[in-house]
Amino acid sequence: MKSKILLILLVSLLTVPFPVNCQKASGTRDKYTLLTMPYIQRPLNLYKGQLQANAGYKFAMRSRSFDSNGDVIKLKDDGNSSMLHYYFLELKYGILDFVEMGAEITYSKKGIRSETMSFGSPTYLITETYLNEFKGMGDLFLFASVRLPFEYKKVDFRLSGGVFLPTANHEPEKPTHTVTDYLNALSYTINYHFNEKNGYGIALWQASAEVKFAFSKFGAEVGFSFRDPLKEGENFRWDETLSGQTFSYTSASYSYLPHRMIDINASLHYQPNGWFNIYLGSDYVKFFNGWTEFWGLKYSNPEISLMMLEPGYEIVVSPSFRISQTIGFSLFGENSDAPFSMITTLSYNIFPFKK
Amino acid sequence: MKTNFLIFLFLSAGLTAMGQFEKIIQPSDLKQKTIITESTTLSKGFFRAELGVMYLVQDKYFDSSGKKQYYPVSMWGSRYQYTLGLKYGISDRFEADIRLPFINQRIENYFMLKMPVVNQDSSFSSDLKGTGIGDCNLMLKYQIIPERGKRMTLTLFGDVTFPTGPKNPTDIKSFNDYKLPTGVGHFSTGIWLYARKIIYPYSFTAFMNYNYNFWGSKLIDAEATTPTKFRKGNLLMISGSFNFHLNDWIALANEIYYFHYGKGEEKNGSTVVTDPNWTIDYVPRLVFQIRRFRIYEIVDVPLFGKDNGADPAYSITMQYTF
Repeated sequence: MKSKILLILLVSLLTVPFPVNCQKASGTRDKYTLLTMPYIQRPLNLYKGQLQANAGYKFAMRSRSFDSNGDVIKLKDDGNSSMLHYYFLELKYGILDFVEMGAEITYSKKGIRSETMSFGSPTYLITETYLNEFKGMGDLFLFASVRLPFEYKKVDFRLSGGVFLPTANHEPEKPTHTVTDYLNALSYTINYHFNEKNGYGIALWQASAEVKFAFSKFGAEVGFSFRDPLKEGENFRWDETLSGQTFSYTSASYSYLPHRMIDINASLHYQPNGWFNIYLGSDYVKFFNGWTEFWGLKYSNPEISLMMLEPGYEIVVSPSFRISQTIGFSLFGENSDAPFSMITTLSYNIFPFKK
Repeated sequence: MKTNFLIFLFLSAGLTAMGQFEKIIQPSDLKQKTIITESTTLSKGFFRAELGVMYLVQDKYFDSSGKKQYYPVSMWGSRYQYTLGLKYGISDRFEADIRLPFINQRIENYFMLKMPVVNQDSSFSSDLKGTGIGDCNLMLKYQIIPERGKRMTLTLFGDVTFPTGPKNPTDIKSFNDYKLPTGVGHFSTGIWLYARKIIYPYSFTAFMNYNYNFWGSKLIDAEATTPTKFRKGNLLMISGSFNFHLNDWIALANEIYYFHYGKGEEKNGSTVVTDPNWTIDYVPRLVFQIRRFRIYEIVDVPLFGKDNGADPAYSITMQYTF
C-alpha cells in the first residue's frame, strides 16, 4: 500500500497536471511592469531611473481664423489658407520617483499668404503678392517637476517649473523679394517674401501645476501653466527699396516684449484595457500683455485666445514604445488662427541603469 | 504489479506526448497575417475590400532649381480622394484588384484690383469645385517566384487606368465659375516588378514601375473652345522599403519612392512641350492589424524634387479580408 502511495505521488509530481497554488510575490515592480503601466495607474512623473524620449509631428491646416470679436473668418475664401508642420523632441529622466527633469526642442515651418493685389490703369498693371514664411528651431525648454512623495493610487499632483533659453535664432533673414512676369516698366509682379524665425530672442520662465485622478477605468487630468518673459528683447525688421527689378534692403532695430501666456487644459480618460487609453481633452490658451515698438512708440500686441477640443488615444505598443495620436478642433477664440490639427507622438521608454 | 502498472498508465496520461505533428494553417490565420508576413498576392478564394481617404493641399512646390517654394498668390487648393478597392485571389499566385476613386476637390482664389486713376477698387474671387468619380484602375498581380519559406518573392503587376472620370470643365459660366473635372482624360498602362524578402519581424521590398500614358484630348481650361490633344509624360517609379513589427499587431513601414515624369506634349495648332520632372518621397505607414481588419495611416512626404508639388499627402485606409 505504501509503495502504491509513493508511486502515485511520484507520477503525480511528474505529470503536474494540477495547478500549484503557493505564495506569490504581489506588487512586484520590475522594470517591465513599470514600462507597461496603463495610463490610469501611471503617476504624473516618470519612475526613478526611467528615461523617456518623445518625438512628435503635428500638421495643422490653417483654413479659418477668429477676428477680434471672435467671429470666424474663412481664410479659404480669400485663398489665404496654409499648412503648419511642427516637430518636437522631448527628453525626460526620473531622478527620483517624485522628481524628474527634462528638455524639449521644437522645429516648425509655415507660410502665410496675404491677398494678392493689383494696381492698374489703362496704361499700367502692377501686381503684388505677400508671403510671410516662419521657419526654424524653437527655443530650448529646460524643466523640472516635483510630484507628491508617495505612491500614486487615486490622486496625484505635481508642480513644474522651467525656462525657455534663447537658443534659437529670432532675427529675420534678409527678405527674398522678387520681380516676375516682367513685360515692361509698367507691367510686372512683385513677390514680397519675408523670412521670419521662431526664436523668442530672450529667456522666458514657465510654471505649471497638474492634478490627476483615477477611478476604476476612468481618469481625469487638469493642468494650468503660466509663462512670462524675463526681460524686453531687441530685434530688427527689414525695409526694402525696389530699383528696376532689383531689391536693396536696410534693417531697423526695434524693441519688443513677448506675450505672457496662460494655458488651462483638462482631459477625461477611459482605459478599457491595459494597453489602450482613449481620451477627450480640451485646451484654452491666452496670450496677453505683449508689445512691439514701431517708430519709437510701444504698441500693445492684440490679445490672442483659443479654445481647442482634442480627442485622442494612446497605445502601449511594447514595453519600450507607446504611440499616441490627438486631433485638434478649434472651438472659439479671438485674434487667432483656428486650425484643424493632428499630432502623432512616439514615446520611447527605458530604464538605462536597471537590470 | 498489474495494479501498479495500471495506476502508472492512468496517471501518465497527463504527460505531454512529444512526436511528429503537421502544422495545420487555417484560412483564418492567413487572413490575419500582417503586411510583414502576408503573401504578396491574396490566397485563392480570398476577397479583400478596402476604403481609403487621401487628403492633399496645394501649398508648396519644387521650383526648377529644386528649391521648395510656397505658392505666392492668394490661392488655395485641396483635394479629397476616396477610394474603394476590391481585391480577389484567383489562385494562390494570381490576384485581381480594382480601384474606384471618388474625388472632391476645390480651388479657391482671390485678388483685388485697385485703380487709383479712376478711384475704383474691385475684388475677384472664385471657388471652383469638382466632385465625381475619378479614373478607375484594374491591376493583375502574379507571383513569378512564389512565397516559400525565407526565399525572396518576385511578383509581376500589370495595370490599366481607364478615363472614367469627366475630363472637361462643365457648367462653364465664366473663366472663374465652372466645375472642375475629376478625371485625367486618357488611358494609361503600367508594368511593375516587385521583390520582397522577409526576415521576421522585418521585411524588405523593392519595386520598379513603368507607366505609359496614351494620347487623349480634352478642353485644357474653361476658356478653351476646342479640345487639345495631349499626352502626359510617362512615369518611372522606383521604390524600396524597410518594414518591421512594433508588436504582433502594429507594423511600421518606411518607404522611399523616386518618381520621374517624362516629357509631355499638348497640340492645339501649335505644340507645347512640358519638361520632365521628378520627386523623391518618404512614405511612412503605420498599420494596425486587428484580426482580419487592418487600418493604414500613411503620410507621403516629398523630400526632394523639381517642377513638382511638394505638399505631404495624408491617407487613412481600412481593409477587411473575407
